Amino acid sequence: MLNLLTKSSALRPALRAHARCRFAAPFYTINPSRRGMASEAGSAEHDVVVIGGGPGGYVAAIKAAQEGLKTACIEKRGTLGGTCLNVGCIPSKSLLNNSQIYHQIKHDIEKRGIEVGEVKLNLKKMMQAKETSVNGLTLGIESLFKKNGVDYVKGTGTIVGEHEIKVAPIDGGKPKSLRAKNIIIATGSEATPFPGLEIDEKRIITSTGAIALTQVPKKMVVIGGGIIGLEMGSVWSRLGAEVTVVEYLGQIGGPGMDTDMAKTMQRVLAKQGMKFKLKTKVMGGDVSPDKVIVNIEGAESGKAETLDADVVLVAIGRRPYTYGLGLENIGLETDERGRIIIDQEYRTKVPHIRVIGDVTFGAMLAHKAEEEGIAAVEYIKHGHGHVNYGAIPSVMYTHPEAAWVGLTEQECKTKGLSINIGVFPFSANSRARTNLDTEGLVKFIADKETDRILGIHIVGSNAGEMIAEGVLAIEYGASAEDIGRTSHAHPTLSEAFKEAAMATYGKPIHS
Amino acid sequence: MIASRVLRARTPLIQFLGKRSIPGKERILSVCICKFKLILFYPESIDHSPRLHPQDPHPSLPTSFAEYRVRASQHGPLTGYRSASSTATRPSIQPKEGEHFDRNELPKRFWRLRISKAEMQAIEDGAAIIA
Repeated sequence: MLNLLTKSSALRPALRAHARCRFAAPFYTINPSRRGMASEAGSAEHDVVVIGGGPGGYVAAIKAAQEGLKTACIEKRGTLGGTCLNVGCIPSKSLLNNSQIYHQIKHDIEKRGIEVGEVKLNLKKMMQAKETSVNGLTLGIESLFKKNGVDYVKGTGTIVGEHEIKVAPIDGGKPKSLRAKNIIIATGSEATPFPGLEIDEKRIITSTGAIALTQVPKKMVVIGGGIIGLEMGSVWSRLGAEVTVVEYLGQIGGPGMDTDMAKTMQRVLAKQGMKFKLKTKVMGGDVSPDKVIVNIEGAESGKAETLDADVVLVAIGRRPYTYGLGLENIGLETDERGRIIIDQEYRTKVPHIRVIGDVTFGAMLAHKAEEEGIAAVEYIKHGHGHVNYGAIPSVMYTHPEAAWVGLTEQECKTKGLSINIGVFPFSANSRARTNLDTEGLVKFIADKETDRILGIHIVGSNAGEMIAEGVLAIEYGASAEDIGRTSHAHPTLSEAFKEAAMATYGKPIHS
Repeated sequence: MIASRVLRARTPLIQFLGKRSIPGKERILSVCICKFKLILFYPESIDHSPRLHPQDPHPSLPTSFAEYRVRASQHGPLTGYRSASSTATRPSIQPKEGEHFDRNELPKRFWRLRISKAEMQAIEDGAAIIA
């Protein structure tokens, strides 16, 4: 009965507990002459050691250092930024952007009153531009580490004890040991292989190979019509490949995409030249010296077919990456899909070992991992953190882009929610018309009774930027009318966002 | 939203909730000993007992979470955690009316500790006289 104790006697057991306690939280010793509560400079023990330098890991490391914790980050790739910066989001966006410019100049420039001569693709230079972006950004993180005082350890980290990590340096030097009061695992994910098709990253490729092809394939088969498959498929389609997407589900974009949006995207991408085979299973493949034959079968009809391709992109999803991490050394558990099991504060069963990002539960998104990295450090330092999993946006960077946040119409129906839906097409938006870029629409889903926004779905040329307003609205618990009564600048694409909100509780003006 | 509020036509859902308050912040105690400042941060208003992660599709946490905490707490209090199992499933620890707990009934680590004169002096004067 703590409240029965006197003030001074309440203090004493706590003082003693602190002396015994190995954990940083929740008792802290602060030396006013130093920056916060970090372990003594030069000591072998860190307050926080982060394993993995991807978007979750490096953000957690910087945040921890900013909070005054003595922090190290172990990364075995040799460059920081993880899959996202090195072989994922960033290089693919470089290729998406530049291939779109190439495609637009080739197919969409004359009607704008611009005449150009012969347009030629220099794939080598396009790849160099991608490398320049990637190198600049990865080196930028290294300088952020230096600025914030994060110890960057290049090597493979293996947990050998509850507070000890053995690091095998990537340069082959002598292994060293790091001790940590807190450990954050952020080792990310890897592409899920397709059984029977051996990945060589040349002809049978994952997203990693898809950003590094040395020539445009004549024919490409994409296994999996999710975000990665559609983004990389559209890059090579724009550059001249004949791309066929094979998807097991009845819609593209994965199960998280609203069906209306998936249909719109499929129609637009088909118009751009991509082919789709939905409700189709891939049964296997044969690799010969000059072709790859992909055997497919209708998921419902059972009708067998073959597709031939120069390159096959396997994009059926990603799986948590825990290879060599040493989970078994301290008995940390994974679930049936390989995700490390954690509680609501990102703790494993060993409370000072936390896990964030792709290697545990939730969507495999860089920005979700970043949020978790911040929250995990806040739990360590302050005892509380925050991630709203209901307000994590998803974006597909094709052209037009697709972006969404919150519930889909189908999810609302499954949950038995009464909803209002408001839709506004970009074809009725003045800025989209002046841009000659009118594909797409904005769709709002709001609770019928309260008008509270439940989901926002956008297909449009700047959907990835526009969705930020929707995320904020959902985070704040806004109603559609709150958006509809907020002034949006004219003429902008964002007026379509406002008008879709107006269509949810009333009527839009321009449609 | 101000204009519509003036018109009394509607009540916007977006409202300023006031200055951010951090749970447990008001429970901070600080004491200076030598040149070190000791902060006791006890966010008691937050239940830190392990529960399912919001994105965890499974019905419950593995029993190893509770087992680890029981084992770890044998070596002293596992600070920051109220219990190994969910507090919702446990009965109240508040005494019934007319009932009083004796400190000596609690585990030894909760017993009142003897305070030396020097230690009491150190606490009361912020350790100013300790070299």
